[in-house]
Amino acid sequence: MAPQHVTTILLAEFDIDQGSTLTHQYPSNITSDNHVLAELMLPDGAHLRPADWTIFFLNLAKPAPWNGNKALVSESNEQPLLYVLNLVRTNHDASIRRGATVKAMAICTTHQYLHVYKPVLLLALENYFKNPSVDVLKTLYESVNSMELNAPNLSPYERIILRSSDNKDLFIEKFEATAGNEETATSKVDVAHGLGIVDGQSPLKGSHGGKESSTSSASASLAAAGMAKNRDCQFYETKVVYDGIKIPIRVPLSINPEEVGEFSLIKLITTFSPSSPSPNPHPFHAHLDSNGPNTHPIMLLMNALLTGKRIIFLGNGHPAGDVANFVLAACALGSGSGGVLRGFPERAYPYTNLAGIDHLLTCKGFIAGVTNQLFEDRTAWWDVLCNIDTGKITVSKDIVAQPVSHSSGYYDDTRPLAIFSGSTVPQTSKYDNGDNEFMVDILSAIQAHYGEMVIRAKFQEYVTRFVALASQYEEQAHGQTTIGLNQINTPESSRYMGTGLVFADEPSRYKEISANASRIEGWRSTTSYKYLQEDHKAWLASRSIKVMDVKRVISLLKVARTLTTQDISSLFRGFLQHIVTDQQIIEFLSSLPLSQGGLFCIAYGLFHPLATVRNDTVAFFNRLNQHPTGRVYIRSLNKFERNTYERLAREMLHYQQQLQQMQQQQQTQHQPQQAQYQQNHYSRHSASAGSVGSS
Amino acid sequence: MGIPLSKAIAKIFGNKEMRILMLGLDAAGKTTILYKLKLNQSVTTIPTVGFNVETVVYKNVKFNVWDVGGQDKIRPLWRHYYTGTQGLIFVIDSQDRDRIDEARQELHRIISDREMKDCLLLVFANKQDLPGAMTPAEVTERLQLHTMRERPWYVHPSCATTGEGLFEGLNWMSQNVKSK
Repeated sequence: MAPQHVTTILLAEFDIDQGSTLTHQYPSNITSDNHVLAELMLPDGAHLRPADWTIFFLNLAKPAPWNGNKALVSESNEQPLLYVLNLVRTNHDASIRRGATVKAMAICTTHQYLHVYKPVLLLALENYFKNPSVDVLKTLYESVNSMELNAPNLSPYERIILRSSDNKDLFIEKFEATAGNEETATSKVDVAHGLGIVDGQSPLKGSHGGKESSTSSASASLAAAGMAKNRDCQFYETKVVYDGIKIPIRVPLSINPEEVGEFSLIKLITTFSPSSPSPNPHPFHAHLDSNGPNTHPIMLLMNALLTGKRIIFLGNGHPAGDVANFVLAACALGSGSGGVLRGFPERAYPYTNLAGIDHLLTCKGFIAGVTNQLFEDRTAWWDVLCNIDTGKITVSKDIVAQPVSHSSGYYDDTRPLAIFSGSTVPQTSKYDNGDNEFMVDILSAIQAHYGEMVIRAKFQEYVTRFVALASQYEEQAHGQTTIGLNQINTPESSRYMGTGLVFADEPSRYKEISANASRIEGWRSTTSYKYLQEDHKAWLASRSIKVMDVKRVISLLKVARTLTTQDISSLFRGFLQHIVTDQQIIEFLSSLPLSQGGLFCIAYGLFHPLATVRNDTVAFFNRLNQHPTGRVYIRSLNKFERNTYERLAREMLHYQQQLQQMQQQQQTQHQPQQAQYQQNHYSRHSASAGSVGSS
Repeated sequence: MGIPLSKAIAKIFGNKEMRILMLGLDAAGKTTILYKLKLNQSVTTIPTVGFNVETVVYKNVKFNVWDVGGQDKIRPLWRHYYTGTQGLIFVIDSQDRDRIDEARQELHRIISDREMKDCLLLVFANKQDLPGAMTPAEVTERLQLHTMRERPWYVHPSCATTGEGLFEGLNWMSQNVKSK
């Protein structure tokens, strides 16, 4: 059976006598709390505008994971978070009592990309206005669930690789495979339908051109390959047929786990970045003010998200859809574009109102969007309020204080710590943790019209670094870490330059960790931290490269002058020995985004003075070149690097052939001195692609 | 700096700010009253989903008026608007004799809330232009306002579409509000 895309269709209307009412739930009831659901579907001010798109989430799983600590235990039979896309419309009609009808229809789905259903929901609600019957819901349910979704199944690492590049050759083999499947699937359907083909289906076949006549599988797969080549590699294109209308659907493929809906991180950043920064007026809060009174508002929001504060986005009198998109963007901000930390959407309320307030206030650290200015006065309800009209971020006067002197108990960032014994780091710059520099970089990138994905990638990197810092901090302050690599979980890393973040020197390491200590402590008590512990444990068990910290090694290679020749040669030997399987290659390449130069820092090995390093690099590149994704990376090297690689590979092949001949001679003539030659030159050839055996 | 200065000016010129909550059964005319006060126009209204809020300045008093939808199922939300309310405008459809008891029950439920104990009560006996409308005295009687001894209250006849009676009501509010 095909996977169910949409679980439920809801219909709510504003009854002029009763108020908000949930009229239908198809095919079955998903909730008994009909009233709150109806209130969410009919947002405040719906009578003031013709239409409003909103989003909210239904956490049917457990008694809300954020309610207490017990949530993490019951993992097994949990229901996924449901994403709800809702459209409310107000139709004025002077002929009816009180002059208007307000109705809302919603699609509940487990797909994060719920925005793809906008066109079909628009049509269905239109139909419901004409014919208010549950049949409209039924038709919609059936048509959205009959959508074909044979998207290539990409692993998380493959998604990371795809996300960083628009290279159309990436994973083309997977697209071709699924395109082929799709082809056979459609023809089967046609047979099944026989002569009774529904009207709406005929235009579909048109899109496949005239290949109906030729049944040869070869030509079909050729055409499919053509389709795969012309694709936008970030999307899978399919369609929903509703009411005889073919609606194209573009399913994003490289979406991160916690990116939900269609939002703009750039809009969030520009809205809350003041043109002339001034010191924050609120009393110092150790979790929030990581850069003291001059903490950038976006960083204050980041800190509030990381440390699980109660956050409200207020758009006074705005359509609910406006605030919802800010909430979704905030989830992406805190979670590292949805790719580093978990647990943000589950405490997000993209749109809520007073009807949901009782539920909201039971949530520890919510991220909510509201359009009622009343929330601004209720400072006891929130910790941080972001006003989308004024662009101001306010810290509640009722927030639980976090004075710096007792911030964490064990890691006081105002004094030098015993853990950095003998440290004489100047204290003047204790607030300078690099955030302001980062924000300058972000804002200039936005000003230079870099795209949304570039900005998201920068924040993903930022949160990744935050986690790595936290792991270092844990090792220092608590003696162990459960969220990062170390000597205990990766003992062999001692042969490959150790584990963890790379710092310029010890003082800068001290400075960065201590400047982050308070918010790290704040984050360590949140659910996103607990989720990361779980994820890290699972990752340690499932990772395919167990002997080195690839991220560390790569950042060391980027500043290669700090490495000794000995280090370099053992690293490249390590690559050759331990990055062998498909999984290992993909995992390795995922740490080398194509947008950041791909293999350039590994290609450094081609120019190394030591022959063994050069040979290892060539052998390793030969292996990558045999791998479909690795080949794309090799082709993306710059011309100089690629020429060098090709020349060295040719030379190597040539010597190997010579060697082979010599070995044969050796066997017949027993001339031991030839072995010396072999040893000096190409002793590492054995693992190279397509090479001969060395024995 | 800016805030204390404007407060000082407000003191000198007697500028007051007042937070008003306007409630009543559905279709009593709350939204029509709000926009008549705000725009001095009779607008065609449709049922309010959620609320409307507008600022009306009258005789140096800035009235911050919240008009909240009145349908049965959304009345439980009214309580969220109580905190900080200085004046309650309760709007009665004077022609709707069938539901005047329902209106009385709702009114008494609102003003018995602890958050509303210091709040002024203005009742608009609205839709006076319609035939057979209850008089202010009859509305007072049916709402059992005479049982309220602690609280200043005032019933005033009004017609939201023409605006008659509305500003008289606000006038009473502004004269009786306790300065903070």
